[in-house]
Amino acid sequence: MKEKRGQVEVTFHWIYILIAGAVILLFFAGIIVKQKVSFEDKLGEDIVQILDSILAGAGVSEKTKNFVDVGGLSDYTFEFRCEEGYMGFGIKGGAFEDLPISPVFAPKEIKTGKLILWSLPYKFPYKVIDLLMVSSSNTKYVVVGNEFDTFYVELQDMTEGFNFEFVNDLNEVDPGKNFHVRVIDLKGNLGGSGIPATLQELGDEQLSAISFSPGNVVTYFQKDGDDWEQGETVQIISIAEEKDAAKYAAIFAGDGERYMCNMMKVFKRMKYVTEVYAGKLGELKEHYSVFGVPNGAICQSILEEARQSVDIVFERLKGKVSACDDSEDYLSCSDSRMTEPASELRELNDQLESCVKLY
Amino acid sequence: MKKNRKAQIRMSETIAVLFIFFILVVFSLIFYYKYSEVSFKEEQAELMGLRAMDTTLKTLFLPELICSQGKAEPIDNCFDLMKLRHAAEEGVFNKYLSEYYFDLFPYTKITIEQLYPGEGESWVLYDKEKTKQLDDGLMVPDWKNKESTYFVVSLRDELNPDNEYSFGVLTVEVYG
Repeated sequence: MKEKRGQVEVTFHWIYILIAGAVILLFFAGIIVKQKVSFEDKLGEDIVQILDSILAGAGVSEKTKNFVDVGGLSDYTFEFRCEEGYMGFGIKGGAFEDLPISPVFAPKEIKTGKLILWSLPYKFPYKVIDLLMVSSSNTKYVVVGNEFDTFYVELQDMTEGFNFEFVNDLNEVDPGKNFHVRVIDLKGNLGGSGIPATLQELGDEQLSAISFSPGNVVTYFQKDGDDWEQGETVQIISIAEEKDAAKYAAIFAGDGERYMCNMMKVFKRMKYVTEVYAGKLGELKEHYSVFGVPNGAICQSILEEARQSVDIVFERLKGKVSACDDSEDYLSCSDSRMTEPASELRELNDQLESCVKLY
Repeated sequence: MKKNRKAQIRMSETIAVLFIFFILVVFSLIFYYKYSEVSFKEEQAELMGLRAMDTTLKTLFLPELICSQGKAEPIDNCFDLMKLRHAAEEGVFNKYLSEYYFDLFPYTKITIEQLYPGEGESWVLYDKEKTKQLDDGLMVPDWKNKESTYFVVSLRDELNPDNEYSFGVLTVEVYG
């Protein structure tokens, strides 16, 4: 009887130890799991924040290319989006950072150990904002065009450091082990052709193209099996004669929708910058209207009388910029009514040689 | 009697072990909580410093203020006084705060002060303090920390050819 009681006591003792051990183990396992989840979330947020800082810095360093080693992040796929209520970038399926006002032109997705950031000022005719182009060492750009074409030559100079290849025939292209390949057709005849055999092995999401047509128009294409699927056709709104930031932005933008969405951010900023320049113009006119100011008469005549008065040109530009911003529609901005007053203002500014210039 | 006493001792032993175990667990939790609190505060301070630097950088390159030179590159760390005066007097940045500039400078105060030569004139370009509304409708500040950064800039006044350039200081205060 006594022996049986002892046996029960020992068994009970062990069961008690097992339950207590299991409870303690579960408690710590719970803490570890919770910590792991919160650590992963935090890591995602930290990565996005670091990238945001890099983009903010690169966005204001005019005309500079930044090569950022992000080897530690090469396992993550970053996505860049720009659509209603979802403008920004983030880790695919993870943390996301809003970029409601910064125009960032990037491929739809990037998975790389080296980011390439390039900032170019957009002038209309004064500087409005810096456009930030984002690319990577494994995003390849294949340019097909005439080697005597001005833009072709400029591209060769400007894109040093990027993964660019200039070819005469698309069949010469080796896609290599790149994450994405973008064909840039400067001849404007991509639409009628199929996808070259050398590029057919790439997945649909891995190959895209843009084709420039006369009149500063660009059409986006995406690989769809053996053919090109045509996307948006977009008018490039710019008065730049060279190093056209809006044109370069079209090359780096993921697709037409993203391009237009980012350019709308530019027009929004243009409205406020234009308002500041209107204030400067007012002060300039007041200054030159005072008797005895050096070159006052000449400068006043340019400001007041030359061609149509600067005021009218300026008001027209302001009106167009505001209308374009209010419409939230890129197509309503893409006509000569936007570019004409800006070009006129540039000419007037050039005439102010012996005077204080507007910009 | 002897057996009973032995059982009582064993019982007390178990209770003491459990008590010490739970004391250790509670200490660990308190320690972890305090550590998390401190590291969170450090991280917040670091983030505020980063935000202040970012904001200063963005302000220095604002197209609304920079000294442009036609087709040439703008002058670094220089503000055009004509544009600056208009932006400050008309309150351009605060006028379009909700539409645009709050996304550029959240909860920040940006001031530019002319130091030499000049009359120490000062312009508040942007001011958005973090506030909260009390039950009685009164608005009160809702920030605990403020990070300030200072940057020496040149100020260009093209309408004053004798003293075209002056020195100034850009102050960026970030509320957290």
